[in-house]
Amino acid sequence: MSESNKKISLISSEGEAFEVSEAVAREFEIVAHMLEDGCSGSSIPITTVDSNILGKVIEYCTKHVEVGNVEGNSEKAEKDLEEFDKRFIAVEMNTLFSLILAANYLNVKGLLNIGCQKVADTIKDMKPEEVRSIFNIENDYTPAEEEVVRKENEWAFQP
Amino acid sequence: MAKRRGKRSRRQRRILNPHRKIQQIHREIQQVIEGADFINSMPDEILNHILSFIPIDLAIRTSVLSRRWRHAWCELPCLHLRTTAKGIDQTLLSYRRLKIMSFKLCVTHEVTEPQFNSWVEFAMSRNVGELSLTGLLFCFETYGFPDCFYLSSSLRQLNLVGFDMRPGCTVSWNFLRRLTLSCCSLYDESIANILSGSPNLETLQLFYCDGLLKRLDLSKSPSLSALEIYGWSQRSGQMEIVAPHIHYLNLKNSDVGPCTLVDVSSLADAILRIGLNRYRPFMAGFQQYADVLQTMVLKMLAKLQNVERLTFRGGYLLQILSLAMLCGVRLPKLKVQTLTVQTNFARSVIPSIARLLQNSPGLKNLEVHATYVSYIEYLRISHGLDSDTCWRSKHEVFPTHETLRFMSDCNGAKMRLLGSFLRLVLRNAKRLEKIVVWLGDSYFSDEQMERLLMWLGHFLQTIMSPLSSNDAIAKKDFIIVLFSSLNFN
Repeated sequence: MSESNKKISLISSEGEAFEVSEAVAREFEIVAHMLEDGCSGSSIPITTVDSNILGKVIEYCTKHVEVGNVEGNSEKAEKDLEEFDKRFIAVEMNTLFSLILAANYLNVKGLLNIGCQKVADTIKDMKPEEVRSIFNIENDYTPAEEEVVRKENEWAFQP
Repeated sequence: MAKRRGKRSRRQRRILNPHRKIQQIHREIQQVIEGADFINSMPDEILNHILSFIPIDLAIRTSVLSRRWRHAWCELPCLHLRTTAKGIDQTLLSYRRLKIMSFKLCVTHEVTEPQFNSWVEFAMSRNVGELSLTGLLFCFETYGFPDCFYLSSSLRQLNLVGFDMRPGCTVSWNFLRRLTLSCCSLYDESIANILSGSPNLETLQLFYCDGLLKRLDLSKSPSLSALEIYGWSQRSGQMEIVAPHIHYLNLKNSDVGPCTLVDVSSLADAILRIGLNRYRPFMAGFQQYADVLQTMVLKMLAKLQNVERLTFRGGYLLQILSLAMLCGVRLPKLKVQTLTVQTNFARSVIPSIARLLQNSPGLKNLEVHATYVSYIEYLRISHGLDSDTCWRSKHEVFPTHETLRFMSDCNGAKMRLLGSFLRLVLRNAKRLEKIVVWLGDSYFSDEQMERLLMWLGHFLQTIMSPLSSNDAIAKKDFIIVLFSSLNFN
């Protein structure tokens, strides 16, 4: 996989160690930066991400590194990856949000994108009332204020 | 329930903490609701990112969710609006971002010139990177952009539909990389102004434009490497293209105002097609019309002798070439390595394919997109020559267009036809390494496809020996036949 077979341990918030190849660890841009800044230690604490989520993020990065390394037949590989992403992101909302936050913190762009895309797809065709109830967003507008907001960009609310 | 709610709002107030443990109780019921804790605690940049995947009008709707969401959309990097003038005015009033990455505007109803000016000024003042403006054709005939439009150091891509391009000042688009003008009116002096003001332009696309442009001179634009022109309708005759630096050309030449390639000496990759006007020959006379087409096609071909990749879209080009051959015209030698033709296997296109193959001694790859191609019947009247009839003796195995039409449901006949075609190809192109045939207009079931492949394997063995290797990959409605390092006698 990577030129060097160096392994790096990523430590979750619970203190659990995940051993990964350097190539996979480098998918975390934050880790890549640490390595480039000369942080040569073989274990890196990821204090804001728990074991469950860290494990998933590593699974995502491992797959993407693997596919990226296979030569030839890129069209099929891309399709496979797309399928993988689709399955990978089909998780409960709480896991999805944790993944998004972790991807944002660790700076894993691909994962951040598919996560946000998934939430966007969920919200997209819903009425505001539905979005509120599903994501438990408290409507802190007075009815009059809400009317003002609607009027502000009236065209967007027309069916 | 009340207790949970209290707990939740405490959580919302906390600064985000991604590894918060979530109680696993009632998981199935809670899964959606528990997710809710997070969306409220997401940092603005993530809300923004989520909204960026939603069309702008739906993103704007989230402003009524709560105060937190009210201005979430106002920071979106892309603003793609397709609405009334009033809607656009409203939206721009609330939009806050100072640097717009992409701004697309399509007005659906009447708009006044000052209104449109104000939007253009808005976009330019917000350092827009990608600008796309549409919808003026039906509003006012000769709209002139304000000067600020022509002076931008942020603009990287510009897409205009339906404008009269007459800059009133010296253009300065220092960082413009791609310029797309559709249905615009162009003039020699304005294009010269635009080109000299866009020293970093890489791609120029002119789609269905007209005007009084007599010469498209790209000789002073060394970074401009890709040119695409579709359906040039010239009000005053032909347009000359002087483009010694371009590597890529995608040209749909029209019979109304044909583009003449004067200098395309660096061209490596060319895609060509011609558009015909059904009524034109009746007005111009068949003979004259046929001559115009023939001259146009031959002139184009003569300029393409050095290209490595050549693509003929639509069957007209091949039909015209076959007819030209009947008139005794010699086709030029080509250095093409990859040839792609969109065609059917009718007798009226086969001679020119055969000749192109013979004239391209360096050809390594041939890609054939078998598709329906209409037949320029009226052309044969012009010279008293009928491709179908005249080529019968030499290419009898290939059917006429008429017959081909009746073959659409007969897969057996199609298989034989494919065989005849491959035989013709292999006979005329000796160095070919790869042939890809897309049977785009035929439907073969899995079973039929399997039979076709078996038959093809057998067929190849019979026509070639030795056959070092062959791979055939089948998909439902097309077939890719891949040959590598072929040797045959």
